[in-house]
Amino acid sequence: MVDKLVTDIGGEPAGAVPQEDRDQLFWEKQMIAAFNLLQVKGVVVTDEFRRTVEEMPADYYANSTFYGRRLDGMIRLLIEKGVVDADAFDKRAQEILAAGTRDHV
Amino acid sequence: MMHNDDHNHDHDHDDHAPTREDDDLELTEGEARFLALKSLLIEQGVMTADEIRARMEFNERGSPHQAARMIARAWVDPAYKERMLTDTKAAAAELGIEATEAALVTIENTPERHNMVVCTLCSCYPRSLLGEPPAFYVSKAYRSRAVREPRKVLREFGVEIPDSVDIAVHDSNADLRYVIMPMRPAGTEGLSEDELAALITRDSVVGCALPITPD
Repeated sequence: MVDKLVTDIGGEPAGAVPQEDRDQLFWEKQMIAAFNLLQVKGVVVTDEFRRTVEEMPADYYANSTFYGRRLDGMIRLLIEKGVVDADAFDKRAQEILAAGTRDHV
Repeated sequence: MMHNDDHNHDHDHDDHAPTREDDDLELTEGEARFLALKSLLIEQGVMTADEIRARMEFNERGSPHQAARMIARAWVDPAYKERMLTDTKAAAAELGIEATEAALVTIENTPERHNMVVCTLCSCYPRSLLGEPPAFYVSKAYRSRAVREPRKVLREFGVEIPDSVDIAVHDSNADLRYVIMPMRPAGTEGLSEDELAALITRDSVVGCALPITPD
């Protein structure tokens, strides 16, 4: 048990609130949609996902973004549940990154 | 819960794609990892590409934001306002808005108290009514500071709340999300419901702005 979760930042000192809005990227919209489908289909529940974020190391969390955490939590949870194979995922991600194109997916 | 739209999702979406394809942007590691995950989920039959497309379209339901319609109605119809304050999801349904949040609560600004919303632990937000959250709402700075120094945060947004007015900050979570009902601006007596709705900005429903005042 920890004294304070990494997510529990309410009341902490912080810098300026970003004033500039930014539209979601297309892949971020796709990711949110995929996440919603996983919930609707009962593959993951919200609290499980929250737990994966809460388990992130503090320095990792501090440097993470909202969409980055969503992706990391999803991947971790789906591997943990055996829905996705860790090696297959790493291999596929490397292939896509190396190709540098969205064409084949 | 899947939605039951009255149109099918099998047609070509190019004519009204929910967003740009970002083809002008270089592929990042984050996107590559998502694409890898997506392709594996599709290959394994967990979901289909069509389901993802349909869900993306459904996720656009809060944009332009629907809370404006509800609040404008509440401003002109005291009985509706009472229903919205009592049961926000039912009031949304009255206007044909499907709110998929577990629970929604509307809090009314008064001359004595201004209200604002944050989700300190993550970024819970009433997406059905307001669409995707703005960048500030998901920022760690807002999550950290809104509960500690709301007046100062509001000032950074250009919103000056007099010291005589209290500020209440409401911390959302996945099971309960908030909608702020701003006060109807002075000088709007002759406006139609649609004209009133145009004054109700997204940020005013989060409590980080005041509604637009007509000239």
